[in-house]
Amino acid sequence: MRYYILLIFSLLGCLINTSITAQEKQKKYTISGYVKNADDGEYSIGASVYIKELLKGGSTNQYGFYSITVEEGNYTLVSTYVGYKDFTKQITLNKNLQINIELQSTAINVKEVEVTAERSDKNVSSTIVGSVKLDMEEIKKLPAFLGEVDVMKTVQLLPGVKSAGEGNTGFYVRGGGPDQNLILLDEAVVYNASHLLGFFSVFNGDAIKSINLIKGGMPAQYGGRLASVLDISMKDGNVKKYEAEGGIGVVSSRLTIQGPIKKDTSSFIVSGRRTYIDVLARPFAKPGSSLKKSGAYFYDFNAKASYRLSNKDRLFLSGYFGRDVLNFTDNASQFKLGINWGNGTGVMRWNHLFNDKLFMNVSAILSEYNFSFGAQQTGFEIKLFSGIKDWNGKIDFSYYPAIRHEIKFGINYIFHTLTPTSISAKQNETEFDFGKIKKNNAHEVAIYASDVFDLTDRIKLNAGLRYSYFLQVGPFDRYKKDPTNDQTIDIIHYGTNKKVVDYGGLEPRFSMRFELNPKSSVKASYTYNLQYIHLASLSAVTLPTDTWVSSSELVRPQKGTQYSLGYFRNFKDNTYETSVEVYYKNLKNQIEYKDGSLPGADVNDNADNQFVFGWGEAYGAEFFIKKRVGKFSGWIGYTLSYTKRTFPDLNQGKTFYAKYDRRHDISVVLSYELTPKWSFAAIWVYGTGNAITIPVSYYYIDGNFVTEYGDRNSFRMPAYHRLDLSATYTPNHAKKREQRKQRIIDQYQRTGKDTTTISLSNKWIKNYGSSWNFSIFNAYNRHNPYIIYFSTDGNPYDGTLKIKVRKVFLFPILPSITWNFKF
Amino acid sequence: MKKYYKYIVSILLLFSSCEEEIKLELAGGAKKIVIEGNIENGKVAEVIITRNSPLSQVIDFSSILIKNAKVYVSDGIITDTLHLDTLLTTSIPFVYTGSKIKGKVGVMYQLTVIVDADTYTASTVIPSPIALDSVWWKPQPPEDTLGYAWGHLTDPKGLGNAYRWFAKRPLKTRIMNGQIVILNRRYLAPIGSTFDDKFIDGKSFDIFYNRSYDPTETLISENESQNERNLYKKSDTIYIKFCTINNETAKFYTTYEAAISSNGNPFASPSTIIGNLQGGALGIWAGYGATYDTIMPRP
Repeated sequence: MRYYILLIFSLLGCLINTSITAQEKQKKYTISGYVKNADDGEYSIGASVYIKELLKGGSTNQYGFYSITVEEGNYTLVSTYVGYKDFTKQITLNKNLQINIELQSTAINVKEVEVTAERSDKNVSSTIVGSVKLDMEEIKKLPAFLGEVDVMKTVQLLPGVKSAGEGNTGFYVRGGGPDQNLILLDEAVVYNASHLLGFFSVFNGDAIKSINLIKGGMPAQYGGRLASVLDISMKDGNVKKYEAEGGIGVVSSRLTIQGPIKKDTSSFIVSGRRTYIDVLARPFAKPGSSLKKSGAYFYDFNAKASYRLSNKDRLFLSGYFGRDVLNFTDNASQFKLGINWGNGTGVMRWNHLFNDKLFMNVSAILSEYNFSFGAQQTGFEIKLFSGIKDWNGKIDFSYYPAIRHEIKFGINYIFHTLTPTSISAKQNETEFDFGKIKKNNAHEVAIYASDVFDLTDRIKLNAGLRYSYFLQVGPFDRYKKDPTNDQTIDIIHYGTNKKVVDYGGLEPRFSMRFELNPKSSVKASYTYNLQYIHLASLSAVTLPTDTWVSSSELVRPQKGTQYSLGYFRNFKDNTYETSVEVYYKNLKNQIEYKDGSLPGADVNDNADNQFVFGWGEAYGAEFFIKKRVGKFSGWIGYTLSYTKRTFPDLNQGKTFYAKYDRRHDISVVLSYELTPKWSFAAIWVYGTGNAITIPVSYYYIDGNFVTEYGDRNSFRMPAYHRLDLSATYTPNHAKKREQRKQRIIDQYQRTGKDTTTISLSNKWIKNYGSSWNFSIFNAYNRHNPYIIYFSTDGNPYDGTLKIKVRKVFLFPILPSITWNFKF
Repeated sequence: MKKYYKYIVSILLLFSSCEEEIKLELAGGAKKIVIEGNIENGKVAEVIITRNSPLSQVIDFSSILIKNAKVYVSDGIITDTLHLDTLLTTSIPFVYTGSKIKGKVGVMYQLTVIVDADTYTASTVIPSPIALDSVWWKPQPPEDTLGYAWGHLTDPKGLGNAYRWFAKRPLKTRIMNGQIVILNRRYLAPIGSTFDDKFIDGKSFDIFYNRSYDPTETLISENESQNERNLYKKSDTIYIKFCTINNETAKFYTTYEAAISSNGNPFASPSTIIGNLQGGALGIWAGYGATYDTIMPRP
């Protein structure tokens, strides 16, 4: 490990040295600034900014900041971003320049949509392997399930990403488990990204600016998870004018309001959603039926405020709060049940620019996930809850010493408080002993440094190193078990702040691009990651009851090593992007429940006493072709993959396929803009069925026939496939608005004014629009299995006993209409 | 607990989901021997030996019974050779029973079963019996003549005690379709009757159980309502057998109960029943520290 540190720092050192010596020969100056959207002042994340003559530059960071340092001279500065017109400006560089760029939406002139969208060869030229950035505008064009635009569902259409199945928003990236994805909303960890057991995700499309998914070559600033990073940024709010948008759909409605607090310096956005299937279903229920008093719904809010304190300081406050509520009353058995769960996040971020080369961000973050459950029947009452809460502090620096370098370094500290399943129960007056409410505390610290630099004109490297450390502290009770009969033989108590266990390690990350020619490149990456908190699932499907556990004396940190290699090539003037990537992954210290484990494992006990440990490997190939621009756009992705697990204490020690091993996975996403009024989209997905464990025989115990289960995950569910269609109708008034805008632009151009300064806030442009979205989910009504289960029916004593295999499917063909508005 | 998972999701499924039966080619598993045996304080060992049965076939009792096994129970000093007997009080009438060894508290018993040259073994202990402090019946509102059977248990301090409750009503005979049918022939353990002291260590508290029913008697219809089938009548006499068991036996019967109660629950994970037989057989060799009580509710 020490070898890696030496390697990285000597590399960094020698490269910076060479740049310093070069600097002495000729004067160098820095161009820096922010890139934002001219319409509403939103900062653009990942926009390309480069010097045309040198074809060198970089992209904006998460806050829209860029910095380029080059030798003095006359240059053309270019900035490009998907969905926006290219920005170009002639500059004379003889001193440090600060240029804030405002990008004009291409939607202003429909004809120009066909003009280059992003720096078109970015796919080929960037070093990052296995990374995909999605824009909300792109996502909103696709068919939406029940009219609800869902970023998680779109992410699952990308190669290498597999949905956990219908009714799950959990996803699997390159053979990793659902807990191995780091899901960030404005830097705050989101522990459970699903609403209504996965029918919707917690991310409200109206409040989201952009999504970045990294499935391989994870940069060093991210850590704590093995498989992927899904980095979601919320909108900052319109700094130019007030705006309201929303939608009314068959199952839910949403409303977003944004606007300046003080024009051009501060802004806010608030966004809310609520589903009303419970309200809709009630009137149809028979009086006195269980449905009358039952319901399931969710609501959530996003809020954010952004302030520009000075030219060098910016402050962002953002938060999310969402809850799912389920009530159920069965009059016949006097059974009552109430469940609610949800996430909450609060983030405060301060951006500071020390100078035009050094950018800093300080974040204070709170994230929380809670689950609670209550039930009662004939005097028996049970309450159960679990959760996780993180206090997180981060300082991140971006340093741009020379055009060849982009250095990032920082420190991250998290204090985890995990509440394992806690139960209280009573039978009339008798309280059962489920022990005190336990909270497990742990510290997690990480420091990192990375540099993206051009080794030669053809080779670009991204080298990073992260060191992470985990410390579990008391109060904590360790239930020691007798290995032969599983009985508690001793309880060891650790006092407050007393060390229970610690782990740590270096996580080296490398990725590189070798440019074969301007149209094609080869990329490779190696990453090593550590993960200290884990999700344990007992059920066949992912449920909100699954609890998070931290590493402990028994649960060692998960370790993941990934090698990936890709070939990227663009065709026809970058109209088509294609890529082939292969990966191999090795996973250590994986956890599963023991055979025969029952819920309530961590009551008067430690959950990890019920775990067994093993290892896994995953490998596969991903093929991707995308047409990004033009009236007709879309992509096709195909993944061939293998995911295996080996646990000495499961399946008699034989290697088995993971539940989410998927041999073939295909996604076809197409959209077509017929006229400015009408656009159409279609999605088709296909996936090999999940691997499940099924019964293989009956046997007789105490008068009953029970089933014996066969080898773990040795059976395949039928394949999953589905076609969704949608049409979006945007009535004329939007067109009129566009025409009006165009007239103003023409006017500006005739008088020789700079059109880049036009923004939507111009009082002459009445900004009102609405659209209708018609979608059909599951157009050919395929009954895709959600769950397959086995039940025995009949009586063995009269020869009628037989096993029945039943398939539960969630959604038949489902048409929906949503009306979206904006004013 | 498991049933709650079912509720959590089934309520959502109310709105949209559908269920249908499908046909699948089910591969058969390996042929295995199934042993369910016990030894109780003061009684001889009883062992039922069967074969597992492929899912695709109708159960045929004559083909699953194993009548040619060699079965031995040893207390470390003497060995009892069990012989095939027919008893009314076990779940299947064909049962291997001992003659020389009667169960004693605290003694370890080794079971050896030989079928077709394959040997299966297990050992168990009879834990010290812990009697219920009292037992009673009371009506369960809104019923006034139906109710659960109740008991009051004081768990000794210290973890590691586990229990199994059995009950039965007096033996009855009926003539059905010209045949004599015997009812209430054996003690039954309802679902939830196996528990350990993980949550109740050192506590004194009430337990209650429903009547349960014998799956081998399901042909009998007495035109009873759901509550009548589930609860004891005020006129019933209730015989209770309350047993202490060791941890392995508790594990077997709790996982067995979980498998039975999760039958038909789509959200349940595969319920593997954890037995204690060595040599590849399914099943359990249990030691019971039994005490007996009787409830006669009527005045």
